[in-house]
Amino acid sequence: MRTLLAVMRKDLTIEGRSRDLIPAMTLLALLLLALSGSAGIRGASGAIVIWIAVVVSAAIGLTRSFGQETDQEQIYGLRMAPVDPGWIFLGKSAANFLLVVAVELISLGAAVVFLDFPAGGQIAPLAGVLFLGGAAVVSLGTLLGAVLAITRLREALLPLLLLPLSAPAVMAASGATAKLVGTPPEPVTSEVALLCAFLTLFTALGMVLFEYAVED
Amino acid sequence: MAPPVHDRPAVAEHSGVVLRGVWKTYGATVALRDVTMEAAPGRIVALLGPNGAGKSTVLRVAAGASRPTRGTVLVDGVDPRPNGIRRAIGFAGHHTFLYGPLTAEENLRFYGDLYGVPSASVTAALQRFGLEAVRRRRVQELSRGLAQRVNLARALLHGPRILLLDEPFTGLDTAFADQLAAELIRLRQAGGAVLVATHEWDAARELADDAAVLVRGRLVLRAPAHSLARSDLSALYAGAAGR
Amino acid sequence: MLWIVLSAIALPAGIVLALFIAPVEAFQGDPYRILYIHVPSVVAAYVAFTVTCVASVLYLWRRAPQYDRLAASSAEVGQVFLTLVLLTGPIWGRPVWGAWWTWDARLTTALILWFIFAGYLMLRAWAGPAGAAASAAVAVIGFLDIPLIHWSAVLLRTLHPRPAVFRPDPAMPGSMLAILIFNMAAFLLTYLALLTVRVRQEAERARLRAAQETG
Repeated sequence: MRTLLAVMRKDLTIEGRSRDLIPAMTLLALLLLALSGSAGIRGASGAIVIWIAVVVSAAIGLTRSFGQETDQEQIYGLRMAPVDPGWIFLGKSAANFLLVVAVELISLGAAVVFLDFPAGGQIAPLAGVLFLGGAAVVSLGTLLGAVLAITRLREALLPLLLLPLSAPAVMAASGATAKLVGTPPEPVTSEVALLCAFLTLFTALGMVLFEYAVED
Repeated sequence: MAPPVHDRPAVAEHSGVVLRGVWKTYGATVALRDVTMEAAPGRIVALLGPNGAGKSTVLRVAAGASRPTRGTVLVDGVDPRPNGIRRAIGFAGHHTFLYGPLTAEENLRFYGDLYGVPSASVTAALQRFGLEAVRRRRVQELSRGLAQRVNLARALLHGPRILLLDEPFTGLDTAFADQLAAELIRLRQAGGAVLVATHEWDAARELADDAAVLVRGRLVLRAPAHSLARSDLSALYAGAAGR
Repeated sequence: MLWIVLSAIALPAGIVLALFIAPVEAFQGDPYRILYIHVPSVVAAYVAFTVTCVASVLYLWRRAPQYDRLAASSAEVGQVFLTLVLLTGPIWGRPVWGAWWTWDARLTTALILWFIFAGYLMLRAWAGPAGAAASAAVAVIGFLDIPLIHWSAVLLRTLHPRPAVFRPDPAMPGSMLAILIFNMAAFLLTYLALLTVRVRQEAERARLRAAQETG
């Protein structure tokens, strides 16, 4: 547990120092939303745009999250520490999750502005879906980032693999988001169930596989 | 992987680092061929060899960061890969394992947290290694020599009894190099095992008890350090190059 | 060798059966015959990817290069069959349903899987020396993802209802079923043949490299 907090604090401190990751992630998300808006996407259809923006910026964040672990082979330093690798995984996931949530909230705001996304009145359930969906994407993304950390061309490969692999989470989250703001709003129990299953599977897998991913 | 030789809950078996018949391949490249050697407690072993001989690989395998393709690695009688014995191992490689955007102190506190080292010990380490002046400077702003000092501070922070060092004297000023040598001798006195990869022949000869020479992944010589002359080494390297 | 011979006989035989011998389907007419290629391709693709996943798990556990070669070869061959699935889908769909693509749950799953394995193959090609373990992990992740992908595709289908799915008439006459099964066997034999060729090719390449190393 101490490990989780230490790793999380370390990641967030580094991001706080360089202060270039959140702007990059957010700008990209805002750009996608602005473009869709100018292309005529309106209302509940904006849901999928929000989630594409989330996944794409998550990929950027994740690439960076593991980029900082490779320039001085820090990831081997982590590997050699007398801690359970599963906790390192959770610590990095937690830090990435916070970054992604920040981008999600900004994206939601941008969707309301650019796409007339009818979020009003459904803020609480929407926030729930954003958190759950974000956590799902981050759990898979952190595992993928670790797996790709010591390979060449990580920057190109991570988005390429993250998008199809996270498709179930993106589709479920996007479907739930659209349903919640639809007229009338529809129940999203199946989507939430899927997101929970996704999150559970990849968090568990991440905790188990992390140490094998960081071994050569 | 061999099971632990003994099962004593209170005191781990102190047998140092043992490699037996270790092979390591990366895809098509063979980094280590049938290497059998050890670094026993109370000894400093210098690992010598030309670039690319596999010295770094030996250290990583011993640290549990690399799985041997064949053969066994034991540190104090157990496999270093699962958690457990890693608390007793200190490793400093070519790369510093340090986070550039964080200060020297933050880096040490982070690793201190991972190794369960109390805050006071981190402060003590900063003093001991002469890092007081740069404790609040970001590591990416430090010179190579200073960064290497932080690297070594990190490796020694938790008081390991097995030390694995890869070219530790590179970039160090003479004063700190002497201090490092003193640390290694102190560790040896306390019964620790030290395995140092180096190509600085003089430092190795002064410091080490034994020398192990690797050429192209093969262990070609094992001898007491004082009996090995520089010319012997050159001959070994040249002989292998011709092959 | 055996697989190659068997598949060289079975595959053309299967195609002839499908095109000429199989009875005409009352509702869909001749285009339905593509089912005899579409469905066996699906079977072959999924078998291939299962083999890749199992080989990947073994590789992560044991790190023996033959598992790595098996995983990679099976993925390549599987991707070929999966491409065939995605091509025959529209060829069937257009004349019968009037649309090039329907977001049928199974077709959607196949499409996303295709992207995953395209990424896997790119990872193998670009990743450098650490690529073997990384791609093995990706294969395991991808395989475990399949049920979730299917689930989400089904969910989305209920959100946007589509015309009926590619499903052959449930009361399929015996002769059709027989030919379908024959073709499935033929495709599986072809898969095995291609797999064997590919694996042997990779093993030779590795042997050659090793010989150059020690020389």
